[in-house]
Amino acid sequence: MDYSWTPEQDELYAGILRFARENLNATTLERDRTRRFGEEEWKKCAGFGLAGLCIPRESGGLGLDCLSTARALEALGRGCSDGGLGFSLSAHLFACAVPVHLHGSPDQKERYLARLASGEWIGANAITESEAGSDAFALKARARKEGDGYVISGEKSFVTNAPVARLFLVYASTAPENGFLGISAFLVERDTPGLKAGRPMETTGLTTSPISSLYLDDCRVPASALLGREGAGGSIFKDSMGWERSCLFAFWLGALERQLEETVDHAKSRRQFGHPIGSNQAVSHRIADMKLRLEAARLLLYRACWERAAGHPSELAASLAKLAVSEAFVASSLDAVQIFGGSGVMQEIGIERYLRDALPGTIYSGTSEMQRELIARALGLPPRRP
Amino acid sequence: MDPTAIAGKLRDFIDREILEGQGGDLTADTRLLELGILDSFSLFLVIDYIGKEFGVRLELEALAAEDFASIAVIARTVGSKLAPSGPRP
Ligand SMILES: Cc1cc2nc3c(=O)[nH]c(=O)nc-3n(C[C@H](O)[C@H](O)[C@H](O)COP(=O)(O)OP(=O)(O)OC[C@H]3O[C@@H](n4cnc5c(N)ncnc54)[C@H](O)[C@@H]3O)c2cc1C
Repeated sequence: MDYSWTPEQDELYAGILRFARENLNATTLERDRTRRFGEEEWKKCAGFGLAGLCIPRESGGLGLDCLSTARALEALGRGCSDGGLGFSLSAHLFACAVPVHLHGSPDQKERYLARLASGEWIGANAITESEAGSDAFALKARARKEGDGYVISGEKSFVTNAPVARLFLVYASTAPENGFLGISAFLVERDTPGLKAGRPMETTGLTTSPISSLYLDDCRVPASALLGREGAGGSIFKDSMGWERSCLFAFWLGALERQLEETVDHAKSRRQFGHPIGSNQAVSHRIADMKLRLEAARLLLYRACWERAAGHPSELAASLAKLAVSEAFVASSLDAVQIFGGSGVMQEIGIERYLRDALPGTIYSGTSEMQRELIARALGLPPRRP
Repeated sequence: MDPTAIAGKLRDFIDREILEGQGGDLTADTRLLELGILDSFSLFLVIDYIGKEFGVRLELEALAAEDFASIAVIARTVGSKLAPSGPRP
């Protein structure tokens, strides 16, 4: 077993880390307070190729495989203090651009992929509804065939990037009687009559990532808006979640690394009772646990990415990775706050922001409970009877 | 393997693993999707079983409701994909 990165991957990591540190952090604190999306920072990331990491070169992306994509995002997470920006960028990539790349027709790729990969267009995905969260496939949005197109109606909740997105990957049922296999995926452009994004919502953490409801009121789209076949939406969504659960969380691995570095520095430099606080076992063992969580989560995440890059992704590996990283981030953020003492909860110091950014991670891309359900299923434990 | 034998094995599997032995009414024509017997969890259990038991890999992207409407339909789909040499030993 070889855990080393190639020289190209090392170069990619170092380049993105430097870029992020030099370009993305100047206004994080102010934008966190005012809940402002970093348009300038988005453009800089896009210019660096980060909006299309795993999109093929011929479509304007960097053409990276899954492992290198995750490594790139880890570098971004380590160098960039704006968690909302990293989250918006990753949601755009894995829940919109990647499905277009994997399932799009030649015409769809031609129209959308270069725009998404260059970051000119921001992408979003909309499956969740007020009555369909963890049970996402119980969605009520409907797409009925009419003439040579479809008419979509429904209300979607918690759509990351909705206030700024140009393209929405919307999931709606074309055949409710077929349940999971009756769901279809549609590419809906922002200016389509009948589509409206709601008022931006105020979240705990990820404050710079705009999120809102999405309303589809008899929204008429051409037949060419259908992504994949009719009824393939459930599979497309499941696959995009596999990408998210493996790759997106690499960004938070980078944040965990940065948090650990800051905490170690603080525990060495902050003195009480005449000694660095890190000389107390109560503090140093907390830090040892932070390191343990980071490294264990990293192994699980790269294992999931390795499976995907090798062409045999498993839901089990992706769920283990998502669960490990998201829960490590919450636990280690609590440790960091505690070790920083009073300054740990002062917004200008930046330590409490880790905790706020960590909290939603155990909910989006499938809650921790749902990941444990998936892991249990993979172990052969019986599902609850329908 | 003929579709009836495949259907029998599928019925036993669905009864045992998904309906926890409560599938007394389950027939080859029971509407599996409409009744929610195959949902986003159980569908993948069946796909996994088909791979292991019959050596037939069903690609996620190619899944269509028409192929999973009932046990009889799934058995026909599996039968049509079985290599002439039959299932894995
Ligand atoms: C920051 C953020 C960004 C998001 N971005 C998007 C987006 O871009 N697009 C989109 O479509 N959605 C998005 N979502 C929605 C997200 O996917 C859902 O919030 C998530 O799937 C949970 O659904 P819910 O909020 O309705 O909670 P519920 O499903 O109501 O769950 C509530 C609680 O019940 C538990 N629970 C539910 N069912 C079970 C069960 N069977 N077994 C055990 N426990 C269970 C859950 O784990 C949870 O603890 C986002 C959410 C957040 C927080």
